[in-house]
Amino acid sequence: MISDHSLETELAFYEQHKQEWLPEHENEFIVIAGASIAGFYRNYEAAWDAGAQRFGAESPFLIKQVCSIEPVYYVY
Amino acid sequence: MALIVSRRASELLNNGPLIKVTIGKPSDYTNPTTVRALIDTGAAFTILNPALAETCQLPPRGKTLVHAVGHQDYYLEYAASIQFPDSDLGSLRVHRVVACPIFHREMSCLIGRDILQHWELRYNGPLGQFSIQDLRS
Repeated sequence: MISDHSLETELAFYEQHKQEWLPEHENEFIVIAGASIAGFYRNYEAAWDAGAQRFGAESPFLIKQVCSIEPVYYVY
Repeated sequence: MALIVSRRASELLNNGPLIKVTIGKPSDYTNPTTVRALIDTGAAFTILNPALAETCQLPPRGKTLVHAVGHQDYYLEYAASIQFPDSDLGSLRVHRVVACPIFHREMSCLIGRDILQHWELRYNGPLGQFSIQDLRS
């Protein structure tokens, strides 16, 4: 599957499979390009390294923390 | 490791604690962009102006919902390398940043609590001075 630059494909794939991943991977970082998964990682840096190695540093891939409730971020 | 910045008290009052940062790609840090960044204890994470993310040619790595004063919206996330020139603060090889418009001509970056969690920040208003100590070993 070819991924688009805005990562909508990857985000949709994440939403589709999130409930499957939550039991074993909650709070880990998943790396997705199209419908391909590079793996689950304990921190953002390790996830980026894995994505860059598997898909290429300049290629589109999603890094997403697996959360039961999506975090809300505030800026004041 | 520490950075001590002294300004006129009025300048610190008007602009806040600003430091110099360089932003670049984690995969290629040979040509980073240098900008001024505000230390912002009100920001949960670190923010770049979208134009700066474009200048640095950072590929998007996600999307996040941001609640700001008076509005909320989804913004793109990027992985960036961040360094702090003219200081001995430790660099961040791969760090998540979010691109939100910053409507202030003095800065293009907000250093949020995601970076502040590693630092001790001291702010002395009457003296116009602030200091940062990097507590990472």
